[in-house]
Amino acid sequence: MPEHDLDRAIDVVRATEVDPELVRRVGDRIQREALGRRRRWFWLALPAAALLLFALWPREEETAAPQALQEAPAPEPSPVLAELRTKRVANVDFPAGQVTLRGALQYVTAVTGRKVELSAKAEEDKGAAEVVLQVDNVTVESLLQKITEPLALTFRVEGDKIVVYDLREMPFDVLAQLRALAADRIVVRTGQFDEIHRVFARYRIPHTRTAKVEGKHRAHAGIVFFDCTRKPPKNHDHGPLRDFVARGGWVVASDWAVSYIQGIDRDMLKVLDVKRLRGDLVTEVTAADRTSPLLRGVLKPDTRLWFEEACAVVRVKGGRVLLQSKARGPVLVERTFGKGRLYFTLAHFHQKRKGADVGAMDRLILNLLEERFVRN
Amino acid sequence: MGVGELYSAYGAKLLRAALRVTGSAADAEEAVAEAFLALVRNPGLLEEGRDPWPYLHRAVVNRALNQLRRRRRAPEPLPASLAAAPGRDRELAERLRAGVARLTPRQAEVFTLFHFEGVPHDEIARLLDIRPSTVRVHLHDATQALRRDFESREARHA
Repeated sequence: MPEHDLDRAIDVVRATEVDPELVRRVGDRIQREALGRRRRWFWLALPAAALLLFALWPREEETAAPQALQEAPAPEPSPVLAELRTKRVANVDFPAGQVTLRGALQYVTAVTGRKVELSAKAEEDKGAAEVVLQVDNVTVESLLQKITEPLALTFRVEGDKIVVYDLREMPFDVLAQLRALAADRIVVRTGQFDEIHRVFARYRIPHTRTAKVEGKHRAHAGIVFFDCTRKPPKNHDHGPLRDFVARGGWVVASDWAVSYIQGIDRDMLKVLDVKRLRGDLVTEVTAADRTSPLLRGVLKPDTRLWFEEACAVVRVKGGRVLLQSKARGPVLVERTFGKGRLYFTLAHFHQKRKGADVGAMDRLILNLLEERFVRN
Repeated sequence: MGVGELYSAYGAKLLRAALRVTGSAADAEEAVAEAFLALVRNPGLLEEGRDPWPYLHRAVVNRALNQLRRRRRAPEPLPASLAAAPGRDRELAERLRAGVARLTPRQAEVFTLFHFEGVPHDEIARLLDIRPSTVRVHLHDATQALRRDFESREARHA
């Protein structure tokens, strides 16, 4: 009977017992393979551990840094110094009285492993810095003068050397206040062609980046920076931003972000056709209105800014020109709108071309923030 | 509890379960070794503080059932306890295993737990996280399917 066969088959299967030898053999196999796996992991992990140890092992120059600064407490390791390793140009700020110039430069030497020298341009700036500097090509070891004013040192990598390109006084007392601001007070509308967030990162200023300025941003922002960007679509509604400025907000736009300025106030300036240049231009800028507090510490003899090849050339209608250039016309334009202000800069916020005075634009941006948040 | 200790505690019972399902010492060894080595690779499979038996038992039985379904090779030498059985008993056991391999995975799981391992309905429900009534339905369906399988073979051989 089939029913009987099924029951019988079940009984036969249930009678199956395991051989103790099989139990031992399988146990041995599991132990062996588990151990082999651990050993494989050990040999795989060994090179990684060695690399990690090598990476974390203190280098000679890193351990030498505090010695170089033994005359004063070492400056707090700055993200800027990390950037200095890979970028062509960077700024480092050292508070006054805490470190000698020699110590500061030796610190950079220790971190980067490259000799730091002073350029002729830096030597020219000695008056502003109130530091006695040696001429070009003299190594910094001979410099023992104590820094008496807050400085920003701009470095440039030239071959295997790092050259101190620019010494500039920076409003470090103001910086402390700016760093204490909530991140939503400074809003950056990101664009394709400029990078103001790099400037803020250099000075560790909190800010909010967004691809679209919305109500939640306007509700808390004191100032909105527009990176150079493509034109907004024709049906773009400029009304909310216009209201933001009318109520007391500030809008600062670089180069092609001028479209947003025009959307707020058509009477400030007119955009002419793009004047194609033969490549980018780094050229001298001068003050058009020396009374403006925004220009404090910005200009020095032969201050040069970088202009992109296809920058927006403008004609000023109702704005006030603060900076100008013989080659490119109005460079910085200001306009009061309602209770707020509009600023347009033809030069990009992030001055990334060789020969441009990075410190000049940085100082201009810091002055804008100081005017907006500290003095107003 | 380490893998070695777990094997000492449950290894023999798990091997027996696998052997009953597969009828092959090599397949049973493979099923048990795989289940334990999976624990070596990922100790998180066993929740801390919980009874490891339900997980280990299901892991081994399911691997054994997979071995059974994949089997396409010639019959291997039978274990000593089966080799000594009369020829017809061996044939019945192999026919049963072939029938189990054709059941749905859940039916096969319930059938082997109940008939091969003697696990009661409630315990199977707990192991598989299903209701006891569902266990009974699966068991009924599996038994009916196997009965039909045996009947058809009997008819062919009559």
